Amino acid sequence: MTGREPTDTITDATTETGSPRANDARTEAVPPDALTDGGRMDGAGSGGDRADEAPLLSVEGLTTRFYADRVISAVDGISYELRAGETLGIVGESGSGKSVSVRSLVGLVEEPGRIDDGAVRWKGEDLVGAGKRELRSVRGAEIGMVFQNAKAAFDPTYTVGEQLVEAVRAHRDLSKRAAREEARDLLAEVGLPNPESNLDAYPHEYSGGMAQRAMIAMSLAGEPELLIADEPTTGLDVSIQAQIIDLFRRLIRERDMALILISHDLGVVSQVCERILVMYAGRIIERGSRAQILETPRHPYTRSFLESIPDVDRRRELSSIPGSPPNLGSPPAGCRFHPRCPVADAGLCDTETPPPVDFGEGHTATCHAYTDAYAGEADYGAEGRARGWEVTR
Amino acid sequence: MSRGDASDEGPSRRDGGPSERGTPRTDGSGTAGAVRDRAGGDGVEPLLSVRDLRKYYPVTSGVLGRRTGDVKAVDGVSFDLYPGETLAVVGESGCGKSSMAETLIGLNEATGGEVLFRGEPLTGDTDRRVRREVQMMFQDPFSTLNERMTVGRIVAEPLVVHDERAEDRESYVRDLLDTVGLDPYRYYRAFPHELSGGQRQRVGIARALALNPSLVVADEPVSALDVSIQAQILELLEDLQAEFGLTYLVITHDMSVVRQIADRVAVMYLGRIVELGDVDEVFDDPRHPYTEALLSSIPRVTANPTEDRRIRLEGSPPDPADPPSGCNFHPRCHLYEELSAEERARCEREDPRSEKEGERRLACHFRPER
Repeated sequence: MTGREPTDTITDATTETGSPRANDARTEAVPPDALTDGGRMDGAGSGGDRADEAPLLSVEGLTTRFYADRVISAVDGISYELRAGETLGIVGESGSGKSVSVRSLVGLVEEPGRIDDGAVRWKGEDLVGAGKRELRSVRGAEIGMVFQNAKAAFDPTYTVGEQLVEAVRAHRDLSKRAAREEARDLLAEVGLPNPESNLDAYPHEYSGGMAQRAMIAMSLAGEPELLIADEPTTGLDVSIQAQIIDLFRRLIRERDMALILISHDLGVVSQVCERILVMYAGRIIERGSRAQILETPRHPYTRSFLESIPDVDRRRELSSIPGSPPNLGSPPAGCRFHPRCPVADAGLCDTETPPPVDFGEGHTATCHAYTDAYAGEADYGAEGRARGWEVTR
Repeated sequence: MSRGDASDEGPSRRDGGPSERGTPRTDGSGTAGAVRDRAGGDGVEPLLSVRDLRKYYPVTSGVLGRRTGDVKAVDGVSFDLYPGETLAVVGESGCGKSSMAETLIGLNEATGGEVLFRGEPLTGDTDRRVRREVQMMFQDPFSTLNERMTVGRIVAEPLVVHDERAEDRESYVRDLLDTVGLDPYRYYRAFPHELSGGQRQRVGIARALALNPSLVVADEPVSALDVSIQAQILELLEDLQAEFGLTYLVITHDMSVVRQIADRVAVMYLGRIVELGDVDEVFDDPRHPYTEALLSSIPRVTANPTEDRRIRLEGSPPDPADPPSGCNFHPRCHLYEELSAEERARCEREDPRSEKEGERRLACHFRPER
């Protein structure tokens, strides 16, 4: 089951939520027409001309667990696709599984973590079962990686140039001299001043912003088709953050790379990414184009999340989300957001995994409130009205 | 208001609880509007006056550790803080905002200048009764709580140190937990590792309130928290201010947080305040080129990002050990770029320090105050 065959819409949709439990639930509860192909990420909203291409990356029911004292279900059956040149943002708060989900893509899940289920297809080839060598030929080459805290990613005992040259030569058969020229060009491309002298500097001589640029240069050494950036601007000053955002935009345009940008900061994501996945407690709870997610959010979590973000341009009433994200060692049954959800329907939301509901053009939200099984009022009841939320089924 | 409470219970405040604690205050709990009027200086005495505060750190070199210069982390900062208001000090890393806060409350010895609390100098020798009125709240609740102490013990610690409330300490601490939205029955005997980030920050707030302070200096109080939790804590801080008439000095890098909770804002760059004023006025109409660029750099949540109109801050802040001459912002200033050679020479030569006290302050040669 790939979640992509439109023949059986119900199965298709429940697979999309990823939980094995989903299959035994609510087959009658959901009108089939509400669920057409909830798993597709290739809506007309963006990258329309690429919709016919085969996906570069296809994630199918990816499930990653950590085996500590308890089993932590960090990523619970997520699926999405990415085509060449697309920009995808994954947003979520701590514990949402956004980082683990992308580390799982490239075999960087650390012990005691394990991918228990699902597939990660890179140009059709499954990376989950791939050997270490095979994985290494993709990671760092066809897929570049950028992380938070770039300084820590460099070895302090070698110059940045030495490390860049090594990265270049790992992927390309170049002489040392040619590799050094390439390394210098990469530093220039990411906007580091005086690339020649900066090649010979040690990581500790770099500022945080310079180190992040150098790490981006490093990720470009293998001429990747996909760049995965995990919180790349977190911890940087706002002026440096803006510079890095501009750099990502330019690199994507000039190199025609695809990008997966993971951030807790919806501002950063919305500045760069055309499509957005919202994760909560290990699951994708809403997906759509940037405009769909920001202008017509459907999931109560997405709505609450948006309402809790302070706006620098005006003081406003913030609506906080009560409680804390769940402990993934014992996640809540049903919808994992239900204990904090202002409009949860007892007897439904706390027992059954919600199906993805399709709002058209690639916009889906996994929420019972849009199904006939939901006993609450159509407008979410008093709580929903107070927040100005409305439900369109 | 939908109040997000960490323990899933209402932040009920009972009569006779913490609202009765301590000395009655004449300053009361002013609304933001009233505070803003007062900030103009209509005869209301400032709670805190900072005058030309300086904190230099020596730069040494060689094996003999000879002093070769100074890092001027705080280089002549002046402002008044009025009872019941929230003043935010905002700036990027290295601007001196945290050094300023630490020097101000006496964690660091000042190199120069003075800090007056209710008109009296606040120094290391200041009477404990005065000193306890100023409490500090820190950024990272995970690192500031002693992991081996129970929540009850952590909150009680300042009371133990000051030998206070020995007779009813436990019930007082339980009231405090209730006040910050933590169910005392559930959390009094809990350990920090059992708490979420938001709950830990609530413990930090309860501890800061234990001695019934007038002024709370909060260094990045919500920076380590997720936004949904951040909103809970910002709301709690506002509620506590209204209830106890607290005055806040908030140190943060986050301009959105400033907009949300501050009445006035001071923007710092390389150890100096470059602009100060009512937060709405400063943010809606930034006058200093640095403030302007900083606000413009913030990645807005938007469905239609535009690349062009933003003002960019190029490069990184200069080395504070070797700051630029004249206006220390001129090498990164977009306004400077547009000036004539003669005007530029003035920026390079002359320090535009503003000593003016009042509604709005600005340290720029070529942006007149409005």
